[in-house]
Amino acid sequence: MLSVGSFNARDCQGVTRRAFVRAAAAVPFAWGLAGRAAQAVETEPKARSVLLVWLGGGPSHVDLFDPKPKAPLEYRGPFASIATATPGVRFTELLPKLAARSRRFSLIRSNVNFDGNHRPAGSISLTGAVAGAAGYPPNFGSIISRVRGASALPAFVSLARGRIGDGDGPVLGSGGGTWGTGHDPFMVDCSDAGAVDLPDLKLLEGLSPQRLADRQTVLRDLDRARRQLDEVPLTRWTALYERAHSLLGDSGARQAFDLSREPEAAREAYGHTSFGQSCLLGRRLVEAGVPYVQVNWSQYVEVFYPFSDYGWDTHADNFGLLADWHGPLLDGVFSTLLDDLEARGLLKTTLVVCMGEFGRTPRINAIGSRDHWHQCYFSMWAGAGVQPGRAIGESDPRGEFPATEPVTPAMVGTTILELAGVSSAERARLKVLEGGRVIDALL
Amino acid sequence: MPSSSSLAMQRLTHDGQRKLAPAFIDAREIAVAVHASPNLVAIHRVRIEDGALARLHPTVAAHQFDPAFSRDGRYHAYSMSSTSPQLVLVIQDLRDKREHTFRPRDARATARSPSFSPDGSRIVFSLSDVNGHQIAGVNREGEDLRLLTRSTGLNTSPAFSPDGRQIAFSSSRTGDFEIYVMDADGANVRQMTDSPGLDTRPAWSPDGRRIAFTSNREGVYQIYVMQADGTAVRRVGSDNERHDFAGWHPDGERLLVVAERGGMSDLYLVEAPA
Repeated sequence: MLSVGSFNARDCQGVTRRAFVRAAAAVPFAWGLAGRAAQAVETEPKARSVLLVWLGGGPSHVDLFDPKPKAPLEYRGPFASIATATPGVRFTELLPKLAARSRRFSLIRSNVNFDGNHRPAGSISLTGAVAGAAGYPPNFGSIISRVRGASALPAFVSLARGRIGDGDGPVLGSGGGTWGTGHDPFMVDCSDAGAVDLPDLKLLEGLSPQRLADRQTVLRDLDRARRQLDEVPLTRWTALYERAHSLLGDSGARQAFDLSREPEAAREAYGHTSFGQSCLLGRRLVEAGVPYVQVNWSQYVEVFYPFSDYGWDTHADNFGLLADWHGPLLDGVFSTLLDDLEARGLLKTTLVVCMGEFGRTPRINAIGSRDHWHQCYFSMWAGAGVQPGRAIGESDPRGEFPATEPVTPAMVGTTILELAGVSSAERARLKVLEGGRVIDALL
Repeated sequence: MPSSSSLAMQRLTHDGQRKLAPAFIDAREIAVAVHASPNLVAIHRVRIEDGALARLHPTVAAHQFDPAFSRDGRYHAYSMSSTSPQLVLVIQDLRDKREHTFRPRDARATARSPSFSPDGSRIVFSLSDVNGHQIAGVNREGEDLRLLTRSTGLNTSPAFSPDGRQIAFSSSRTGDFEIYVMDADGANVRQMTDSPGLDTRPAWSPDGRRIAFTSNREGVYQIYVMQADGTAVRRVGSDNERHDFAGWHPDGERLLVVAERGGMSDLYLVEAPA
């Protein structure tokens, strides 16, 4: 059961909330609003879908995937390193499940960013470029969405309680950027119990199935609603309008958001946390053909502020947090995601990337924690032609700087776009990531 | 490694929300930090009889962790987030309705894992501040700060012995986390465990003869019990899901643990090895 409006799925306790359309399947949608003029990708891309798992806040590379057991104690931290299934590659003890699955993905240990603050660094990571005079260029998802086009489902979905960012504001590169808000992601919130909420569609609440049956009525109602919401730009409203109608008219599209259709064993395997259920929903969306899904660890990067939701910005108590919460949760959920994608044959056609905007200071700070460090960090890659089981790039003995060629955000973006079928010619036409290089060592 | 694999676990809660560091209020109620909503970790009171949960500090909007109670139940301490990443230590006199707060010096410093001395006069805790990550102690007014360790590495999770003469804690001073015991004044530090994995969160049994702790020496976090001198280590339970945050039931025969089963995090009682 999936309801539309508040759009909440029945969760594992059978709970539903108010919805403005409950019998959406009965609504005729003869006018085909989903038919956006998409530009066909010339050849079948290796990545039918991209699933980006975004660890906003800056996960500590030294304490997770790039341990430095021979570094001085003030660098290496308290976590022991363990062997992985890949000879010569070690993770920390916080990641035993991923260590056992290291042949399923490849790891880059020489990522770099060009800014040490969350919002610009996040924007650079998600767009591959620094801001120009007009702002940040479009997110990778916005580009893929534009090139591949929407079906009944949105082409770019971001799973979080709201637009990602920090306490000072949103990550500007999380959406359409210079292309406008019409290219922003379709936001989806997924609770720890698996209740799915589509906040964008709350703009449309109040429309009944009967009114939806008549196009002129719908248009009149929607126009009236839009005029009441001056803060919503016309382009964004139009995009939401199309997405809403596409979703309402297609039972398959609605079902893609309905986690209650998953067997309880799958719900349990991902675990009843927001991140776990979001990864499960991400897999469902990929399976349904959504070209770009971003699963966010949290909405905010911060951990302890009153508003924050346990992001990766572990300035305080880095080691306690990683041991209690972040490490075991990432280890369990991402392992389950890889297993699930593999078992369903989806890894062949899905590019999975897991990263944050930067790492954390290799040298432990005066209060026994770690701060921002953009000069060296990690990313994980799997599926869609990525050769698994590789450790690409090295950091220096203390994890401070790349010891091999740095992997830039532009290279990350170019590789994602290339595998998703956005060719260099298309990138040049769109004026995005022009001249970018693919990370050949992954392929 | 011997294990008590046949021991039954009594499930106390069924909500499945993430739980951290439970502590007995008395033999009928437990306090535990629950990730109750996306942006709030709050201490809840759990009735053992039926598992009913209710906020312990319903007016506090900040994150709260690590509840602790004095033996007589009069005093209560917990960690609370401030307006920065700082975690302060809140100390309450539940009888006289007074409250004191210990604030670390650094804006991003943290005070966590409080433990009361048996007479309730001192609180030891893990202080991550300008002197590194050390074990510290204050009085009930949050004053008279004394650092009990001054070592390299991180020193965390202190727990007073029932007679008040010793403090067990976890330290990475030699590399990875191991369990140590020191005198209550910080002297005479002895290493109790020496495993390749993380050993942390020690908890003394009420009779002072045993120490329960968390270890990932076999991969996933599990609960172990050893004699107070570090010998006769036994694992509690044998499944491969996470078991963490052990605390002793006042009867000294059972352990309270947070266990993940079926993707849910709940409180359980399990028989403790002798």
